[in-house]
Amino acid sequence: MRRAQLSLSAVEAGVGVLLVFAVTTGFVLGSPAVAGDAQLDAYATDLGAVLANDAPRHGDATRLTEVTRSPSGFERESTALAERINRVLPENLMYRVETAHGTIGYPRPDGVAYGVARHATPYGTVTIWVWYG
Amino acid sequence: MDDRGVAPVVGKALEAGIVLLYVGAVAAAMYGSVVPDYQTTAGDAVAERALAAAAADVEGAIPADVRAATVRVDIPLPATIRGRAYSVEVENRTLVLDHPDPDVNARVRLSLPDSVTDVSGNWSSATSAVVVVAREHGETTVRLEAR
Amino acid sequence: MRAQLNLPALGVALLLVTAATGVSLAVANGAFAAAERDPIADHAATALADRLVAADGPLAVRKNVLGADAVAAFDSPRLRSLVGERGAVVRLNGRVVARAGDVADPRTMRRLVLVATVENRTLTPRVERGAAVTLPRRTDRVTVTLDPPAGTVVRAVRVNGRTVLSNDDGLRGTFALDSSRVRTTTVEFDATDRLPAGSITIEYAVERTEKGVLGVSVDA
Repeated sequence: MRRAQLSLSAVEAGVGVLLVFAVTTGFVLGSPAVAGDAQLDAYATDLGAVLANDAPRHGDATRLTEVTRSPSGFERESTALAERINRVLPENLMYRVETAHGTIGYPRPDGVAYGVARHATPYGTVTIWVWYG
Repeated sequence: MDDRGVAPVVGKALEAGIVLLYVGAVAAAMYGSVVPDYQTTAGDAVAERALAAAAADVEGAIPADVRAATVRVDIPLPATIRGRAYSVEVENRTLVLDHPDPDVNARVRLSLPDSVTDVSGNWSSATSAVVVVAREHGETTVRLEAR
Repeated sequence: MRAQLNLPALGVALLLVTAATGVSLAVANGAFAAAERDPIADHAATALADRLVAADGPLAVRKNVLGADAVAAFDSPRLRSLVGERGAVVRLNGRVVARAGDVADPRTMRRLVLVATVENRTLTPRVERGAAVTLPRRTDRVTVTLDPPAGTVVRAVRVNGRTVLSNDDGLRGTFALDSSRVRTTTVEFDATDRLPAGSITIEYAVERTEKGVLGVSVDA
């Protein structure tokens, strides 16, 4: 019977090459950490610091203080706060600001790098998220 | 049947022997040249990142608007780089990483406010590192110490 | 005749594996180079940006609030003293504020800031006995010049309810008073009679802020 023998060496070589390429794939797919978080964190911290400079329409020391003080404070100032954030924040950034009495901004998407900062006021903490969008 | 040169088993054994020799030779070549180079480059990258993170921690330890304060902050540093111990010195407000391998080194300039009058001390990778910032009488000093 | 001791096939196989290993090494090099960051340059940019934006920085009036005249006076030697040997450039809203050296491979950090200009305003009110003057804008510094007419004595001055000047024999002259930036400021005068316009001059500094983006780039 004259059957061609499957050259065992070819099979062995094929397996060897596959193994080496499996390791290579590890190099290719291992992705480095997402850079730019430091920049987004800085934007979030800066946004808190800049908003803390603003006088509110009514009442308390700063707009952020007013917004954390009470639900009615939040009601009164939240629109002005949103407008102010829209003016101050660069165009390519989206934000979310959360206080104990309510939240303004956009819902946070999953899987996107974001920066976060917490700003303390006498009545509570304001959490600010910023991402590219 | 007598045309066979060698028995198949022996032929396979010979092939296996040749392959083993080949793998040994390639491994020796890699460990001789390629692998140590990669290890050194990786070690250098680790040193740079670790020192940059340490510098950021030191800069963050400076207290803000207080007249007198003492701040102690733990600084995480890798226990070894490229398998060997190293030390971090201060040279003219710059952190310098000192490693026995001459190709592994890093320097990071500390960005400190003008109120900081003195930066001194050193860290060794063998002991836990801490930075002590002391402010009194209008002078702020930064010291690198072991915990 | 069966193939035996298939050396040529073995040779080709080993060659293939060697080639695969070579390709793998090249890919590893490429992946390493792609993952390579310059953490020290990144740190330099971040640290310089932090310094410029911090409350005790050379440009800042308060945290994240830069003084317009400090920004105008910021020059290359001052930047050089902050950044060391690297090349660096600082921009505000895209325009260059100061440059030190060349920035060929920039690492950039951007910060949101307010730029504050201070305007001095003056009020010369007429104050009835027991009345208070409310300043129309928030300020943290008030300069009061008292020149009451003959026969009228100003015994005390209160800012936001707190007595800051007091003299039973009468106050006269120019005084610098602190006030709070986070409240509306009221100034009260404890005088024996009404004070006509011109006997009191109140100067106060009003801060006008504009939003801005501070860009800090250093050379890697």
